Amino acid sequence: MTHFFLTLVIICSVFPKSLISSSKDKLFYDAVRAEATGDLLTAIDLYEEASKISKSPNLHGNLANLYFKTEKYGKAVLNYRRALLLEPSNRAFKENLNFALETAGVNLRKTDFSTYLGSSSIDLWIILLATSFWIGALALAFLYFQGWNRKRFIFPIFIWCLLLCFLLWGVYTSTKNKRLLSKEVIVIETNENENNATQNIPLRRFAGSGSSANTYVNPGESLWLNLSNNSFLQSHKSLSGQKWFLVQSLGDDKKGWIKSDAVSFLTQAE
Amino acid sequence: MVSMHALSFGQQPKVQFESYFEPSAVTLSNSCAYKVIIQGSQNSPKGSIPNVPGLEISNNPKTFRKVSLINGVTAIKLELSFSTRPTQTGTFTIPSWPIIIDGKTHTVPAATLRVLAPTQQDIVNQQKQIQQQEDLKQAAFIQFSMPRDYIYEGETVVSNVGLFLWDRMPFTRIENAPVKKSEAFSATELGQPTEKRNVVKYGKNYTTYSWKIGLTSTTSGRHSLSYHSNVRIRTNNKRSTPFNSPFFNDPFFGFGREESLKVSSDSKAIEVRPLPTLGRPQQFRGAIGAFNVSSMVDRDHVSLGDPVRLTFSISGKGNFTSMPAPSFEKNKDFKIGPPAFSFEGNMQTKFEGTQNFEYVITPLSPGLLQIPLLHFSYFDPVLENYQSISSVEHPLRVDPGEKWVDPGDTTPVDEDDHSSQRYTTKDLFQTESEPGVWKKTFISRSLLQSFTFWVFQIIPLSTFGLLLFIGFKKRYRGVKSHKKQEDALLRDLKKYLSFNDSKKFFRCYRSIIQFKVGLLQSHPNPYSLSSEELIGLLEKVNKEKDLISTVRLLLVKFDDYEFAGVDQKTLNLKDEFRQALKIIKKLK
Repeated sequence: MTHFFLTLVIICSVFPKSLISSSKDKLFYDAVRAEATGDLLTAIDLYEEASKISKSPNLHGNLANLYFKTEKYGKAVLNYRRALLLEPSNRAFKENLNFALETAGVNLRKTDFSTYLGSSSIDLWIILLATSFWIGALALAFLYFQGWNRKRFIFPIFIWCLLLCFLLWGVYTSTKNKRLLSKEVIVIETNENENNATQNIPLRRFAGSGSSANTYVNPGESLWLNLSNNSFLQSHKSLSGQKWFLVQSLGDDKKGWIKSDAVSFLTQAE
Repeated sequence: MVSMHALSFGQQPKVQFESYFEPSAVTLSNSCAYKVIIQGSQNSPKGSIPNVPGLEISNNPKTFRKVSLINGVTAIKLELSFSTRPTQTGTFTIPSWPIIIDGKTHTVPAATLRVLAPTQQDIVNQQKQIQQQEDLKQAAFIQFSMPRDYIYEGETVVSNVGLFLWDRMPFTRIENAPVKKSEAFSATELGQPTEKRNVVKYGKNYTTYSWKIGLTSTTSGRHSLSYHSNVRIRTNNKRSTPFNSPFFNDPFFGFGREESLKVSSDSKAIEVRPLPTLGRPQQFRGAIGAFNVSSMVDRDHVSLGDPVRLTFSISGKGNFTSMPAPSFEKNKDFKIGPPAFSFEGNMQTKFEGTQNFEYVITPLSPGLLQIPLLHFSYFDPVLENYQSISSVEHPLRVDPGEKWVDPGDTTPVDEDDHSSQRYTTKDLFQTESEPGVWKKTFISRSLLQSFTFWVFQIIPLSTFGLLLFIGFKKRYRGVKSHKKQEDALLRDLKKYLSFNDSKKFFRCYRSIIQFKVGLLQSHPNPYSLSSEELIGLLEKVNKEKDLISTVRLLLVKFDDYEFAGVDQKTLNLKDEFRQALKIIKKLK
């Protein structure tokens, strides 16, 4: 009886996973086939369906390619960014992202995605910090018990502390950048502005369609959600049910209210 | 003899016809010739002789043509001679019958033959001939075997055909291998026969030559099958047939001449059944037998456009000669070419072995594809029903591969403008055919949130702790040892005090001072220090001058008591002991 229940638990825990795994793989391969036959819209739908189940760098890379081909540069940039989050060292994604940004008319900021202080390098900083701390501590302890004069310890300890401070700064900065990612949104094309020749999306003074625009942003541009004093997202829901976000650019040169369907969270799939 | 003259007028030559039997009367056991003479034309006539019951007239006449010049007139003659054999006695007349020459119809006159009853000599000759033929049958004959009395239409069976030649007959060679005598079957080619000697049959020794033939039935119905062959035999120079007496009239070895002898088998009636229509699968293409199938592909991972070879093998026994290739189901993902055939097995009969069909399959789209299945159906003549089997599934991973770039579409790029050169490449957006590693979130947890990371910190932490433990233990052990030594020296000092042994007391007192001063500078062997060295060390560590002078006086006193023989009776050792404790305390 115990064996029976044990087997049942194992089957229940493994079987749905294998089903999900096969379905996401199937959706991916179906999308690749659809793309090969030239049916780009079906391929996009299949990739989007697969991305709801799980994420993979190539899935978002392929999806970004298709959005680029269909001239939806905002979504192309969004998916290249996501692909890069999953595989930061992929050069093809970086090249494609730069190309898509350039095509979308968005200014390239090289420090945004490829610095050593990015969110992806936080683990590197932590490893360096831990390694430096322990090597220094062990070496100093060893030398102390070897009978080193106390005066001789001053300089090595000073260097060691400097190194640890630098590494702590690296950990802190990359953690901050990682936290920033959760607030980052990418401007995407909406149905409303599809017919708009310029494709510009307004950042309004107030959370309402009748309000005048502070400034305009292009699809593909990165914006950050503004936090209120109590660290909650500043958002507004109109009577018609339309949700608005208060967003700003990184240098605070652009700020305003934007419709929720005109942006997509970078680290949260729809 | 009956004759008729057919006259013609005008410019055309006059054509005359004659017909008669030669001889005009025969006995029943003999044959004669039915002759038709045509004068005035040598062109081939057309017509058919009427059938007369009681007479067997050959269809292949012997033809003779003759042209002669008589009195300046050219005479042309054509003679047709038909071999005729009567089957019963009586008078038989072939009536006049039409014949066509040069498009004109003429009439051949009637002819009559009288058939007499056979004479005694005829009967004897006939019996003799029958006996000779029976004897001849045992001298050389053909036997063949069939697996069953019936076969199915289109089925292939293996027939074993054996040619038996009596050893006492001077056969020189086999002119031709056995040939089947039936249009209802097709046979495979005969190869080299298997020779077997000293086979005993009918009480005689034979040499046998056997062939395996793949026989395939072509039409349903009941058909007779027989084989015949020709062998060469050496005989004497008599003009008579060599088989007048085959058993007792052997020809001379090597001195006679060669003649051809026809050897035949008995005719065997074989029923060819039509295939049942009930339960016939759609994929059935005419394969009959017992088979197994297997399939394999040469690669399971290719780039788009690269061909894959799928080999579909059908093994077993059956009609491989008339087996068409199985066809794939329609599939838009693949382009499938016509297969190449190859057969492994018995090439003579093509009945048993493996038939391979090699298909070249070209994928038309990337991704994880399934090569379409091949269905094969056959009719099992033993089980007498249809069987269907399929190939196994072959998954095929197709990479998109390199994209073809139209060479005519390349635009010259300014070498100085590197950025534009980088982005004008059409292959910049390459579709990946594999999803890569699946992840749950876009941002992975940092190491600080990882339990494993903190577990791994235990290793350097433990090392650090161990290092501290060993270091402090080592240091504490040294201190402990010094304390022990000092305690031991003090115990000795007390002991000598109690014994009132001033000499040993001062010797011990000196050792304590040496030990304590030496310890101040971590001297490796403090008991070897002289009085000057001790004072020097005390001065080096900046001890008080009073202490230094006190120690100096003590050291002199020790020397005096040790070496100068000072009177010890006035000495109060208890005072000395109290002073020693004070000095030891100061020397820490």
